[in-house]
Amino acid sequence: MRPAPFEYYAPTSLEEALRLLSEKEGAKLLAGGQSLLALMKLRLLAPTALIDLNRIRELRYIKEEDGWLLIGAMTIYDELEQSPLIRERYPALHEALYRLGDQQVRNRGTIGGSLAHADPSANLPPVMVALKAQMVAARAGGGRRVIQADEFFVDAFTTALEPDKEALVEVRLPPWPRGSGGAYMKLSKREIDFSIVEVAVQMTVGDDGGVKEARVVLGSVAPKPYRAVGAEEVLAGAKVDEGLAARAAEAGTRDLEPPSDVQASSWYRKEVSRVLVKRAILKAYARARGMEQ
Amino acid sequence: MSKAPPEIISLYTQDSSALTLKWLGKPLKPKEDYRLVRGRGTFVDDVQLPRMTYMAFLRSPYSHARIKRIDVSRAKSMPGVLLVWTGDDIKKRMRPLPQATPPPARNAIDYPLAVDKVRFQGEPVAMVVAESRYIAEDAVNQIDVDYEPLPAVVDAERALEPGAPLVHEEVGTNLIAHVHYKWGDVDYYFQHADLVVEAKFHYHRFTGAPLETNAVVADYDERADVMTIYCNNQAPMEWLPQLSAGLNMPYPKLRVVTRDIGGGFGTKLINYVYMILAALASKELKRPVKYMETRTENLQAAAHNAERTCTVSAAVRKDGTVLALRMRCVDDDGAYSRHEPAGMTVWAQVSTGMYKIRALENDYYAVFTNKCPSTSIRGFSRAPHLFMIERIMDRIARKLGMDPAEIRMKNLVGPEEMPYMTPSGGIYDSGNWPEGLRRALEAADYWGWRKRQEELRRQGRIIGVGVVVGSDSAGPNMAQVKMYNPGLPYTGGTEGALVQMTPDGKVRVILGSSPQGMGHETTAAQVVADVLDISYDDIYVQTGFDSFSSVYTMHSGTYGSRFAPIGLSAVYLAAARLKEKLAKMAAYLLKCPEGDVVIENGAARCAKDPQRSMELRRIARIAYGNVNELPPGMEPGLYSLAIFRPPFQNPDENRRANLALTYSYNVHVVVVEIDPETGMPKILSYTALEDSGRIVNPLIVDGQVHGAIAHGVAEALYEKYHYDEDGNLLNPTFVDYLAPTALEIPDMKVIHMETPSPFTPTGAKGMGEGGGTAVQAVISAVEDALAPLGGELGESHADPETILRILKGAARGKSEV
Amino acid sequence: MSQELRHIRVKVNGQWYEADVEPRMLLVDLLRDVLGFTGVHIGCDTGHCGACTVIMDGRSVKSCMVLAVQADGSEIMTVEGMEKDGQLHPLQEAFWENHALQCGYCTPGQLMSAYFLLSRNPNPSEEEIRKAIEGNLCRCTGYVNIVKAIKAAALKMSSSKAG
Repeated sequence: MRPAPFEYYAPTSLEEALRLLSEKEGAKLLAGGQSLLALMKLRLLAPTALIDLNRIRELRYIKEEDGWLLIGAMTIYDELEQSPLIRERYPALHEALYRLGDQQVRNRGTIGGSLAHADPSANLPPVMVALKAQMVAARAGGGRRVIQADEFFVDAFTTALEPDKEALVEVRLPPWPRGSGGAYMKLSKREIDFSIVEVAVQMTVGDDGGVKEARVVLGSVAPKPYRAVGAEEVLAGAKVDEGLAARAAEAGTRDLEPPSDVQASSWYRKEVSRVLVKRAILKAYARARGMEQ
Repeated sequence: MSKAPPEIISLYTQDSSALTLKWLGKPLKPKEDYRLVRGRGTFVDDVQLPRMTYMAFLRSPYSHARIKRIDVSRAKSMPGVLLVWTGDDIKKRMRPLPQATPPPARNAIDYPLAVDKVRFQGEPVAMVVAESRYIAEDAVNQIDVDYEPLPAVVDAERALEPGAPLVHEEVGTNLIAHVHYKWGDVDYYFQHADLVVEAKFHYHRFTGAPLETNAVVADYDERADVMTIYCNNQAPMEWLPQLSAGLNMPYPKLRVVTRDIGGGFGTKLINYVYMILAALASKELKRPVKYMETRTENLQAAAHNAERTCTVSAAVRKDGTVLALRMRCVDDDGAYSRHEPAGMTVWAQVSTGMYKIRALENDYYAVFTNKCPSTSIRGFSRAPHLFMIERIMDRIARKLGMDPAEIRMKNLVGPEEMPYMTPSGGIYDSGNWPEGLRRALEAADYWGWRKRQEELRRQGRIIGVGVVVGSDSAGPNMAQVKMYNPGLPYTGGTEGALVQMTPDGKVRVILGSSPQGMGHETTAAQVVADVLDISYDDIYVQTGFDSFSSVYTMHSGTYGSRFAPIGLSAVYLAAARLKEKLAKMAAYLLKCPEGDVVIENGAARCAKDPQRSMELRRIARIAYGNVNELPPGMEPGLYSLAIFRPPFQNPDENRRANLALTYSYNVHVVVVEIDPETGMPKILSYTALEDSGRIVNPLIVDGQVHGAIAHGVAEALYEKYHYDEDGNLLNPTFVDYLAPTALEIPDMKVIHMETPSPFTPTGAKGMGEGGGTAVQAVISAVEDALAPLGGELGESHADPETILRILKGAARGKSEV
Repeated sequence: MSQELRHIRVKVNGQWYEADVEPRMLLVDLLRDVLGFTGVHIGCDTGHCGACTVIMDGRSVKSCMVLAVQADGSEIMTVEGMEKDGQLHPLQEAFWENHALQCGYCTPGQLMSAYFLLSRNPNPSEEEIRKAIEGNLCRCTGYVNIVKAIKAAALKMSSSKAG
């Protein structure tokens, strides 16, 4: 119920935080703490030091730049969920945030913390991959690099960030052209639970109704977000109706080998993946065509 | 076996002439709520004493293992650690906990800390007491234990097979108890039935998970040589023998206190093991010792329900009349018999439920397994029993092509048969059950939904409607334990109360109960207000139980819905006696013939001469201070003590007995829709009818109905324990043990009927465990949804995957789970 | 490992308090054990139940998922701070009138979540209310009266503002 002892640092600048990260062995970055503190309280994790990022104001922001939406890594879920910009431009992200945890979690948890934690069942990673987001990693001394969402999530609880050296500081959402739409769907027994299966779909549809680009990404079915490439291939250039969506879903989930756990078996996850992919495709398509809000 | 004999009826019937009915039935603002909405409750962990220390436990990771070696040296040497004990230290300080079971199960060795071996995952193995909660947890992690894992037994039926691993070698078998009852001509009915319907059902494992976990503060005051135990146990007096023996302290030196308790639901019946350990440690250290269970410890090791598997057969006439029932059941009671099989046996009699079934045969086995010990979780074992009968009624209906509502109407005991005696000697006090069913069906628009169901099904939607009736027996007769252990000297069901008018004319009430949110302060005050006709606001009810001031018996406590039928009856009696004494004093002071005094509106007056009146508070002042004014020979003061004793008997030679004082009744109608592609269920409509006799406070009764339904919905759709074949509990935290939130629990429509009980002076019946009904109602609805596809549900839990498998299997021709 | 105590200042229910704490001390333990606000309750160890919810710098948070050191300089409201000069907050009044509690253990957390909801959505629908308290488990009431009470409080609070 209570964590093991640790050293604690609360830097007020990013540079200081990064320096501490590279100097203190066994240190972990503390963002919202809604995942990390939970693990530490159960003593499943016992870092020797915590570097608390919550006092670094420069990491909390939502701003636009050349059509991109730039989000500071320490921005809390609630601010993002309440943002009209995100609701309008990235409905899949809005839905994933709305269905994430509960209000108290959304009042503390951060986008950076979630993505860096890379829980295979978290809501946001599949959405980031669907949206073609970019993650900005920073290291002590001013170094920065941009990592594409497709490369960012490497394995369960593992990202491309260099351990003990890099921190995620910004998430960048690219503009999607006119005729774009997205959807996020999640199946879980309780609303607050991590998903048994989740899907994020983002697509652009031409004026003729044919899909110009589609990204279909599943979560909770693999150690990292799963691009349902088979679905994307079926969608390419197609006009979407129930039948096509079903075919895309079938193709996209055919090779899935999801895990079994106490909440659901592999069989169930695979069945429901197909259903959710179909439904999310239909919803994203309708939004892209401006027929649904 | 129909109407109870007149001599029994008159034995049970109570006088209620002292009631004015001016205060009962009113939705008065509950007294407890004022402090609780301000966060000013006193729960056990809120108790803060000088020099207080903290206890934590090391628990077994194995479900079954021998303890070869425990090394506590590192833990002991940590700064701030005051004490580290293992089973061997406990063994030196106390005898094993006495068992209520018959031999050979009685030989089971049960200590609060594991001795020599561990028998379930999460069993406490060592305890640490330290200066802070943090240090105690740190020290626990410094204890090393060498275990030799043993094969585990996790299936109750297999546990009875020869060669199964033994949970208790000293018992020589995994059988805890076996009871076999047979009443009425069972064999005849089965031979001559038009139809025999049989099915196997399983009631799954879950728990009550009250939001406050088990907790205790034991405070040994060396100066007074008094041990005070602040606890949240639901029946503290039941465990006083264990405490007294374990501590070697007589009752007058043992003070057990409960104040606010954050829910119980049966799980807090068996937390006395922590009370004993904390008390032993406190006596050793001569400092207060506090223990607050973590949620993981609670889910893993506090108390589960008795998991039950039954083969049920019904002998049926082709018009739907059920003539006889047979049940063979196996109960999985976990590693220690700490409260079960008490619940298993008490339900013997109400296996016939609300129905006129003439003959009943029950063959029940309670079994040890390497799982968490069982207790009677909300529903006091009635939920599994009623599940069995309501499910077989649904199956009978389906076989005969009858509507489930019809088959119930056909078999319900009618009002003309009340008070009704069951084949097993149970006495149902009152009720008009057919009328209740009619009203519930109407309120739920049942027949409208059946029509809509047909239409929606044509559109391809999967809709199910379930209607289920439930008996909510209350106020247990502890002689039930004689059904499996005839030698046990623990019988009856009683409760005490003290009602005192203080010199200022206010009233002070002390109860014997240990409520966990049932509003006892409120309802007790309403009964006193009603009898004395004084203001509810002038009545002060002491919070909780205190063995130094409560009027108690060994049954005292709050479990089995006993407060309304038994506790409030004691309050009524005490208030009625006080009223008599006031009337006597008033007669003398007012110079009025005794029979002419009326106590009304806070005063006593002469009926024939209303000018002659005196406020009760003036009488009170005289009674305590101006005693020369009292009638000669009359004892001063206005204290009134009563202990209510229902006329319970022991089981007769055929083991027939009435094992509960009152029987509330409920009908639940549920409409469910299933997503055909994912199997996700959604409750579209929930209607409940509740008849719990005379309602004392409708806010409290409604609250209980809501809560019971929520527990039932939770059990049916969300909460289920999963053990693997090695006895590892796979969901011991709130991450995977799915307690529903406000988004999962549906809105509910609740309607009432009030058929007062003749067996309690207030007419109130115990209630609140109608959760039994909710589980079967939801499962019934889900099965009804799947029925056109040939789907059947044999379990009390239906999660989306189970449902989807049935849907897909139905498509393939295999349809039972 | 040496544990340096940190000196922190926290404003609780309008009053400043100081304490020396280990970095690992949870905010809920600071509030309950050190500062005596026993109205904040602990109901689980995985951050699900919400019984420990308080308002921190204007937002509802689970105090068991925040370190005491993280609250240095912050303003916190617990259930004990809802009443003013012996007058119950309309939410508390509504909970009482509607019997939105039984054992009372989840109640402080429910009140805090309801408080936060009404602070930015003065006229919530039933769905919004249920969503707002999804992080507050109750085992007694089935949520029926809690939802009713929050609706009633919202009505009262918005009408008293208008009037």
